[in-house]
Amino acid sequence: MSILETTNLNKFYGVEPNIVRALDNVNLCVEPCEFVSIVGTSGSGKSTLLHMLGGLDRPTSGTVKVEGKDIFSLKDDELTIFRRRKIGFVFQSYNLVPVLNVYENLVLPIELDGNKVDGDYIDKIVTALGLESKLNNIPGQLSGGQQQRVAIARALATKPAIILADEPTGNLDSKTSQDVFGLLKVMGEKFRQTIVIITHNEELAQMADRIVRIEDGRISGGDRND
Amino acid sequence: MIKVSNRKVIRNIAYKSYKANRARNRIAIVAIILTTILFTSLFTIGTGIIESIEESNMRMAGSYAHGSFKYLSQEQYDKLSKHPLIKEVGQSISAGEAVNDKLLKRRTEIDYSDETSAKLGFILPTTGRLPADANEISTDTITLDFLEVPHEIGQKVTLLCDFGDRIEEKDFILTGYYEGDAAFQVGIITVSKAFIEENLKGRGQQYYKDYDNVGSIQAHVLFKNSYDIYSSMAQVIIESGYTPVEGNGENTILYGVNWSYLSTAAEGNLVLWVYVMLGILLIIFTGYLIIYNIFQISVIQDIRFYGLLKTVGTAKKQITRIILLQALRMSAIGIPIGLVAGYLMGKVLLPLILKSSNALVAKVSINPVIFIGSALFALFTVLISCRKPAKAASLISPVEAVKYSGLGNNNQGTYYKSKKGTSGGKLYKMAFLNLGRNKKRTLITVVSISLSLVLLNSVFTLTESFDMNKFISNFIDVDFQIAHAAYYKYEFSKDTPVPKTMTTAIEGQESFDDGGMIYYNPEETIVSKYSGDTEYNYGKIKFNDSTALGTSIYAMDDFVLENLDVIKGKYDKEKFQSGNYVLLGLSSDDKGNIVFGGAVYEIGEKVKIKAFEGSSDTNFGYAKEYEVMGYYRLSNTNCSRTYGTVPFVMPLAELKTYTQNPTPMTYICNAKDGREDELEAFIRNYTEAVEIQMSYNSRETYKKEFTDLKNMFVYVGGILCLIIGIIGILNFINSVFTSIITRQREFAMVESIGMTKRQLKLMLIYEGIYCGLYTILISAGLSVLFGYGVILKLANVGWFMSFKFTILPLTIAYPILIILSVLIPYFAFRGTDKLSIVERLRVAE
Repeated sequence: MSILETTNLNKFYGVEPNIVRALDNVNLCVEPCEFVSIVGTSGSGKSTLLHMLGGLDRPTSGTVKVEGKDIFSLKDDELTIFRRRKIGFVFQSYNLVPVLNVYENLVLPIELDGNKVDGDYIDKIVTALGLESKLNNIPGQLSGGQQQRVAIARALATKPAIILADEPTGNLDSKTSQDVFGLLKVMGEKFRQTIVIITHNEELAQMADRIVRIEDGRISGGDRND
Repeated sequence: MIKVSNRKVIRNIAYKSYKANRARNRIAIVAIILTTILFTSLFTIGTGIIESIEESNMRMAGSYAHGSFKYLSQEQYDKLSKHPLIKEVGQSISAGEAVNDKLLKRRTEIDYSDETSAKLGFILPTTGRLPADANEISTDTITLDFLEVPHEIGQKVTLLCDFGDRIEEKDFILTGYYEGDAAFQVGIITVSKAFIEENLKGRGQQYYKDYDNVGSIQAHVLFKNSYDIYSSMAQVIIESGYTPVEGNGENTILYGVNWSYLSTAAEGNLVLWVYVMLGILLIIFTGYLIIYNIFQISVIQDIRFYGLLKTVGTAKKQITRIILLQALRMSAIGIPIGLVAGYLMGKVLLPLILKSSNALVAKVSINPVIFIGSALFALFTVLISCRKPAKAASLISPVEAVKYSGLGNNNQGTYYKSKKGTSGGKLYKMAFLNLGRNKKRTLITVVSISLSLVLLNSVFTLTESFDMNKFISNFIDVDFQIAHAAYYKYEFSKDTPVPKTMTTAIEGQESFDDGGMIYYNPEETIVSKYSGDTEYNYGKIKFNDSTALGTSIYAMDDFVLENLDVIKGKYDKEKFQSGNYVLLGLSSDDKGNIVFGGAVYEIGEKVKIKAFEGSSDTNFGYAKEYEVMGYYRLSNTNCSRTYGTVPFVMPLAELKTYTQNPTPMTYICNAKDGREDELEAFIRNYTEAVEIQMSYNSRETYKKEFTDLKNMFVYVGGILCLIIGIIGILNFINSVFTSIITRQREFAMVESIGMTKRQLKLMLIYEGIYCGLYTILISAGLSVLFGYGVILKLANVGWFMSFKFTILPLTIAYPILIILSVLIPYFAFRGTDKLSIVERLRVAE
């Protein structure tokens, strides 16, 4: 069974005749533990697709199923709760809470859910990402690469069904980008995570199990169904 | 420099930017309105107080003319009145006196006054008009009452007119009247010019030769300003060809200057202006707090917009201009509304403030200075408030501006210190940390709300500390004190006695218990012999030789004598009635402590007393000797209320050996227990309808005075608190909105990692509650400090205060504050959460 599946996903902006088809009938399946990269030019609709997959935005039509559950059948707050349990996000601009230290950022989604923190698991993630010495630091004190590692750790912390990364290396230099991408891949394998990553960097994309290409809102290659 | 015509485009950008910021505009305009209201009402009250003091001084002086030229002939009047220095001039002509039997108790002058002179002299009829025909008159209601003429236009009045050289009986018709003031002992009946021409042709045209003032003209003048009236008067006389000296001679002219323009009033005004200045500073400060905040926030929100303007080449000056133009546009709406509202508020408040000093009548005039001044100060506040934000906007580098979010951002270096802890993920903890992100904004919010609460509590602590019993007992120690209106204006004379008719009427009342008269004769000077050193009332005076001290000798009925607070020695009725003993009165300080140093005679000492014969006369050889029996406390109800003489009490028969008919000065009495209201109603009615020149004080009237005083503080303080409170709450709303708007992206981010809107809302509410708690802590602390630090001291100084600390206003305000700190974030969040997460996430990307 696919862990993530979209069916006839459409997202339009505006009205005829100026309609913009950001997503045009997208059908995509992702299997568990798969590391998929989505590549496309700027404006191709790749970010929109990722937002749909993560339930950040609602589609014009079509469905997104995560672990078989149609996420858009949920109300806003239910969707948010579903998201914090099942989906981990990594953003280009890290999106860490500036007033919280690294540890607090890591466990924020768990605590928001009102759950007990699994200390051993968190320790493992922290060690694997090399953040042991940074736990008491504030995001502002960290470099870009370090911040992104914290973001990755946060995404892993809730043991989500799927991790969605939106241009996670967009703000980093090429060496750090390599490292972060590598880390994501290693983490995916180590913690048996499904990862979908957006990038416009072909070279990095090659590190994925599979590359999905998107152009003008349509998948133009790489889908399993091809 | 090359002049470029770019004003239009700047104005256009300013206008578009203004249009795009409706929410901010609304808050800013409200803030500007409030600031302007504060300024305008302050100025209205300030000028109102000054005007009212001046007005009542002028009423006391009898005129608001700057001065008058006296005893002029028609020719002199014509010459003087044409002088260019004079702005306004009116003439009055003395036509003698009305000497009807009914007017025996009230000297009544007959004068002609033209419209201007009548206006200047407060004798313009409020009902009807000034007389025009020879048989017409207008006068005041008290004179009408004496004449037993109803207050009605068209009534017939017969007057015995004393023209100086003859007395004639004449019939008149009443054409106008106005409310009389019981304190003025002279009535004025105004006649027409025709009457003067008919009866006094040619009279009074050469006063400086024959001293016949009947028929002579008084010119009452107003100059352009009241600066150095003496010189102006003299200049007018000289330049008209006369000599301005007092005295007589062919060419001299007497003149008088209205003292109310000269007196110490100016010093009182200075103190008032100091308060006004302090008020102005406070208002500028509070206004600045909020308007600055609003602009600062709006600039932060629009910083990308300004950065963009800069990248396309807008100069610093132009960006400053864009912001200033918007501020001016808001001022153009806010200031006029504030001016009108503030004026109306000042008009409502002024009578409340002046109520406590019953001598003043509130007078509010539409003085352009109020509006121009308030508008300028309000504009000034707006401009200094947006100066810094404008500068910040103009200085931002275009590259930074695009990244700037107004908060410590991820890449902004080490602004935040690392912190230990693992509990930050909890909502309340996060909320707490968030407050610390913009310490300045949090502080401004907390301080401005605290300020209003501290003020509120202080006002109530102050008024709660007003002690009614202390206040009343200082003024009155019996149920009623009755005297002529003049007595209460410190103008008691032998012409203003308490009539027997009145005391008989009061004593005939069922509810009357006991009472007695105090007699005094202010015209007769009686002196006592004294030698030795002493500390007299307010300083040391050394009398080495035998000296004659001026005395005030009272005689009192038994009731009064028995009521005296004898503080040392004792009052022995039998011995006292023998006529060989006196009691000596001692005054007390504000706290009620007797000033024993003021006693010039010991108890048991023999004092020689005699009628005054001449200032150099120290011969007490034949004077009668009295023994001082005891000291009694001088109070408001047992003396003439004028000080500086040695007060004695002796039996009435004894006083009569010095002065034939001692004047009944004041009558004090008690009602039967529980029937005070009944007697009061009778006395009130009597003084209003029967002998209207009479006046009275009672515990009730002082109670009313006390509540008036207290209410003034409550109203004025309360309104001030309300306004500062509103400013504080506006600040709070403002800072909540800002924090939500500037953190939109951050909110979207935490939502994306799983914070529900409910949790977000809860976090914001926590932030609000923390703000509220800080406010409570600070305001409670400061209130206690201020209460025990300042108000306690005030209460110790104020003679009618007993310090009573209260926190009731705070305990009422706190729940409201907490409710607001929950509701405001709640509604603010609901108002801003319309965009989807993705749209909000994009904001800064």
